[in-house]
Amino acid sequence: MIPQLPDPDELRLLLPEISLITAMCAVLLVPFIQRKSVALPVVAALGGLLLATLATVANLGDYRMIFSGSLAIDHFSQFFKILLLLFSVLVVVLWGITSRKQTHAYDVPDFLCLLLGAVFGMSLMASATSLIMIFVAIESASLPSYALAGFRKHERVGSEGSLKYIIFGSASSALMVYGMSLIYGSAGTLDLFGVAGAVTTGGLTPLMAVGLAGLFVGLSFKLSAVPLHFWCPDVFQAAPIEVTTFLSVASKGAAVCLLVRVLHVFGVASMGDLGAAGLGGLSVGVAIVGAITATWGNLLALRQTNLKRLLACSSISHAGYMIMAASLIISPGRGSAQSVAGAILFYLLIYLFMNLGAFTAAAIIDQETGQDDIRGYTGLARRCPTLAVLMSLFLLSLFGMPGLGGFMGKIYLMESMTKAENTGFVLITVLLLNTLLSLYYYMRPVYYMVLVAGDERRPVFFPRGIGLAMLLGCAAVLLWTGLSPSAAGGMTQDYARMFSFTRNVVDVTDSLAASQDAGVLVIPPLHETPGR
Amino acid sequence: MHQVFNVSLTHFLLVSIVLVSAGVATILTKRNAIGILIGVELILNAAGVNFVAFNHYAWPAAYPVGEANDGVLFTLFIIVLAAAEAALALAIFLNFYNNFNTVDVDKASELRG
Repeated sequence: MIPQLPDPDELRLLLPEISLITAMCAVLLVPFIQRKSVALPVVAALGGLLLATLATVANLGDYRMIFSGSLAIDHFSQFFKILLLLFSVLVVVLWGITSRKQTHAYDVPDFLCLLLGAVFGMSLMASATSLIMIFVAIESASLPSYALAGFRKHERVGSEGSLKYIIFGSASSALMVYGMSLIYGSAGTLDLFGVAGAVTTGGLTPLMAVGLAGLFVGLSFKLSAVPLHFWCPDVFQAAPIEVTTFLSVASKGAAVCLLVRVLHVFGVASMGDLGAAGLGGLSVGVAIVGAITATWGNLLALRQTNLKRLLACSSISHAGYMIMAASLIISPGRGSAQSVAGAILFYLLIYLFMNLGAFTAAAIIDQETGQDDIRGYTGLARRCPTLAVLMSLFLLSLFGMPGLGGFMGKIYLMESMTKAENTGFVLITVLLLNTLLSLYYYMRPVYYMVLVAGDERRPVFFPRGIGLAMLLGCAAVLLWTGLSPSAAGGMTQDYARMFSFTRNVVDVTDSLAASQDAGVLVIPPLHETPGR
Repeated sequence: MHQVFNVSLTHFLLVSIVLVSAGVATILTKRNAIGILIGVELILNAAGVNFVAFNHYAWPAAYPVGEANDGVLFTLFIIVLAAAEAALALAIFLNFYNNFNTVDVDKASELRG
């Protein structure tokens, strides 16, 4: 990789990130103009997010590597960025209904700045293709998330949650960086294509294997994959509900996109010949981790009574389903990579609306009744039928009820799995068994809301205004994608095209082989000075 | 000055292995949050040593064309991001101290289930 100054066209492709950074600065500078204003920073943040969305839509047809090959701008990354940015707008709206009244006016710019910073990191995660960019993207997505998780500084649980989050997060990212240093030592390049080329030509040396293990430790922390999942329920329960919503969708979605990209690069570099490249184990390993994550998340969720904690465990298992599908990207198959990526994008789209709906409903219930324990939901069907119906709809969709979006999401995942020869059917079985397992805990809140009689004297209430509009919007999307999935499914398939690296990989491996003896480093014994 | 012995890549890798082992051991044994943070910094610096050593010995920059100083560049990023992470971690520890009057991570056990 020869660093070059970016040309104007590259900067145009980076406009979404540039607008996010500009909005961050604007939000921080607002207090100098008007000290106690809440509206101004919110308008600046929303403006930045919408500008970034427009810039992403304008760049949608572009298809190239920018910044000396460290960012891939393609349909896949741009589609995820649009999802992410629109979702962040909805998170700001959700914050407006839930936490705005409790947030001091001085803290509003801080909150928005941290949120925009995390969105910036996540949008980089979707297109990162060099180790440096992966590190920077993961860190700039993580650091604001740590602070956001403990944003209510005077709550004991909040400070405990963010303490656990930053300790586990910084330890796993440190191990990831150490792994990256070993990958660099083995391959001699930070470029992901070059690394994949070195693995395919030079084989999986022990140094490279340990390095890749470190890289996947960092990735699985962001994905909350077993065994690095234990922070997830604690942090999600402790964080304010809009932050939980944000982390459960945006953070996991970005991590899934990064995993898909890393595996895709390796899959293309091996040219479908996994056995020779020593990468067959990688695909199987990712599939096993995904299956364990899905199952373990469901088992954890069975005994949860706090709704935020329950949804946190359910988000672990949903991440597990997506990891299982992502493992097939690397395996050989008749153009299966695009169909798998398309199914994952479709699942992310559905998952966004299911989780947003469920968390918004939970936030409104929490506001009206002060309950976030599902055993306190008794008699809710009588007190607020609208909310009970909508909440049940979101939970049923998370389970995968036919007719709702969640069902079609799982169907598309399974359809893409059938294209892989052997492992696909094992994965489908795991997915089906897990879906059955999850029915129990998704039905428990519904059971308490509908069937358990509550105290009849408690007041009746109705969701109002923006909250109701958001709930109805999410429900409409889930019904639409559930009843006629072809439009959204076709769109995600179209936008699942990822940067075609074949040419790049050949170039990289050729130059590596020519200059560095197939890109394998032999560590010399002591008292010998190679190089200089 | 006369060179007593040649410093090779292996020496640097040994230093880095000692650092990373010390870091992992610190993270696993310390119960003080700041101790754990020090362990994390040790691992990050081990990675930095690796990057610079690999860049110098194994993949030296061949001007005017060829590989650039990727490893040195990565080390600069590690230093900057480690500083940011340490600042944020200390702020979070301080906030935890305000609420719990301790930075013992074993006391962070109210969230369970």
